[in-house]
Amino acid sequence: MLFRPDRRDFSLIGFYTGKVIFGIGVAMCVPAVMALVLGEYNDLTSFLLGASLAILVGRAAELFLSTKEPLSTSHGLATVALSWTVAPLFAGLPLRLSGHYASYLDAYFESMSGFATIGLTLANDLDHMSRSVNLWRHLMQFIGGQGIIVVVLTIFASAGGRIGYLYTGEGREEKILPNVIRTARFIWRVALIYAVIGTSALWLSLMHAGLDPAGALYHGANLFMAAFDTGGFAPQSSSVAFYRSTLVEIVLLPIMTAGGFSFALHYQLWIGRRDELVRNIETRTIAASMLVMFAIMVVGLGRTGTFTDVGVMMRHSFFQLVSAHTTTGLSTVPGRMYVTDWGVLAPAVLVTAMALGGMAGSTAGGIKAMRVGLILKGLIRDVRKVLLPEDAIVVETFHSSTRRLLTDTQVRAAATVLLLWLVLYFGGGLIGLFYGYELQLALFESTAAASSAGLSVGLVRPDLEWPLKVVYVAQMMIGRLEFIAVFALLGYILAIVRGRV
Amino acid sequence: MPHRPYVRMETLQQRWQDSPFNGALLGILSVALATGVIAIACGLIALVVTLIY
Amino acid sequence: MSSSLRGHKPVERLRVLMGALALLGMLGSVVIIGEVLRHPDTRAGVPDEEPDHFDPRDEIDCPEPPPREGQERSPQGDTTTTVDVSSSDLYDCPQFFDGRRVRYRGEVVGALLHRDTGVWVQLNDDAYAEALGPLPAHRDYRGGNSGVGVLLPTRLTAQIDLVGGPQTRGDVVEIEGMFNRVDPSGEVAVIRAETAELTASGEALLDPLLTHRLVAAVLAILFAGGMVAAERVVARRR
Repeated sequence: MLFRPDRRDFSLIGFYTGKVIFGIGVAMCVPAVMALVLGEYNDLTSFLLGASLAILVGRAAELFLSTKEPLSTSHGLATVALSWTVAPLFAGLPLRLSGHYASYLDAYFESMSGFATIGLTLANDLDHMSRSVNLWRHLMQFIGGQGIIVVVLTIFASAGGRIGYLYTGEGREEKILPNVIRTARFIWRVALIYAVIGTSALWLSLMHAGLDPAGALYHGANLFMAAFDTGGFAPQSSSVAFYRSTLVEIVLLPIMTAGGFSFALHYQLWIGRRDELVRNIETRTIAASMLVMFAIMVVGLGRTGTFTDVGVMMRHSFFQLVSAHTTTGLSTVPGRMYVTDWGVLAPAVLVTAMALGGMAGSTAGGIKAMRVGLILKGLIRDVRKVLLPEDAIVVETFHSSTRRLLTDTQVRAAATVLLLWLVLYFGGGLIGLFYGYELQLALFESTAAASSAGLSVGLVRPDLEWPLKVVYVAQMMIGRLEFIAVFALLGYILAIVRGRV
Repeated sequence: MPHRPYVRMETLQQRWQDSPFNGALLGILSVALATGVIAIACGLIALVVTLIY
Repeated sequence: MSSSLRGHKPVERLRVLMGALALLGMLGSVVIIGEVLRHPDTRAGVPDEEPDHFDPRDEIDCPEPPPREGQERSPQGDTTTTVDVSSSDLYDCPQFFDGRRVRYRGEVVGALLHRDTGVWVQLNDDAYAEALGPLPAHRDYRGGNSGVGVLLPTRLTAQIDLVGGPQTRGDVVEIEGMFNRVDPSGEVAVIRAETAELTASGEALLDPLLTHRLVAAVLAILFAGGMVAAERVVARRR
């Protein structure tokens, strides 16, 4: 049976995309209020303009494309991909008008980087940027981060066997709570309560670091959104190093960790099942990879003589590794120093950590611990099969909220997606090589973009070649939407182009 | 009916257990615990490595 | 549910084309609005200085090679003479400058962070600090900021009045002190200043209200309001 979308399919996708754009417009009112209060009048008009255009388009879609048809899986996926393509255009308008972005492409890149919680930035002169525009950059991370969670746990999870295999690699249909609305509400509740607590903790530690109360609150709120949604934008160009404070870094560590945890795990922890931390396949995988990679990293740093004091080494290497593994992207060290002072092994560890990523169903990107864990378990099972008598039946299980059976389909699907991720990382790296960048830099930046980590060695900068900017934008989107949503959208586009509508 | 000026401990405890703030506290403590455990393990690794190098 | 199961409603190619064009047109309009309503360029006509863009492909010209695993770091060279440095010198060759006295000049940005041991400041020496001034007053895009963290003795911060930030060019300060790749305080790549001199005072910058942008915003609000109202009316009728 051929895939032949028709008028209703397009109306549905347009209708729901319109709702997302409308939501973006409403969200722009938050920095607009800040601009009004602080007297940043040109940015106030930018935000009002952007919000109005988004609301106009959103309501027009509601008016002209309104439908009561149910949303199927392919519609949902295509809507997500289309929204992710169109939303940065509207969100980028106030950025372009702020005067800190050299082109609309740069503003679009920044918005995509925000929504996809990457953290790579093309801002010019960030340290003189108006507070409302800077707040919008961070707010985009919060909206995009929470948004993708809701999408993943509702559309992706509810699809069950059809895309479950491709998405999580293990075909589970589980939702956290019985229905979609309750799941979405729970996600927002966790985010908001953590926001209050996390921002307060950061506020206190930033005041301790020397900021005035208003400044500390502003920086605290922005840093929270960057850390919890594993985004990586920072209010100042020197990232977390600006605050010169071990206490601030210590407070940020559990916030980043929380961002790297899946919302399914958060639910288990909220109902008091702390043993899930120890039994869950993903937490075990991440814990093991953290320890192994940290060991390699500090060996590298020790052999290059970068740090000689254990406390200082621990402070910077642990922060950077957690930032990379949770794909946050905040840093305490100037990115250039990874290349000029950290040797080769330590940066390579950071690239690997970014590539592996966090838990499935969190805002973290990368290959995801679930797939890595499943593949490793599959390997163990296969080795056992070889060693045991031929007629022995080998059964392997894994724990994810409950005990589950490891099947061939799951392992194969996880391996397929792992391959797609590697193609994405190396593909972007190859294109970087084409433009004359060294392999180490090209791979680092490509992995940072695709895995949504956003640590940078300086390759992504405002005068980056525009084709590379386009490539990184595509990598950010494909990585964030885990391939499948992009494939769905391409399917619709291909159907249009081939005339099968 | 005698006037009851206080709420039973069991009801208070039940309310606390059902409240989102309890969930949040449990969640935060668990996250902090996880981060702390990994940090301590990594700290020991760092100590060993600096002794070697 | 696939369309073939519920009666396929084909779309004429012309409508598909018009729909795609309408979508692209709408998106294009947003971009055009963004381009038209930008800040005016106050440096239009001013001859450009030679752009000094950082490019990671450029060869780093360091007196010493970068550190490698298993190789001993070079011993400290002459630490008595004071060297003029920029932030890119320090980040490109941290090993060479480690433990040396340096002279560095930059704009105070962000905030003054008072501690017991002194005051931490971020001094930026990029083009926006002195040569061009902050954005959005001009369109000479020189990339991101570049600067170094400096620990100033508290007594030396009395001369700093303005800190660079939104709509403010901060005071420019020239310092002399020791650069540490890894400072005893645990910070990375910072300078412990011993002397500091104010070389240029900062200024609060005006960002006059752009009337064409205000008019566009008002019009957009009216159109959006109209659309919201229209949609509500139609929805009630349905």
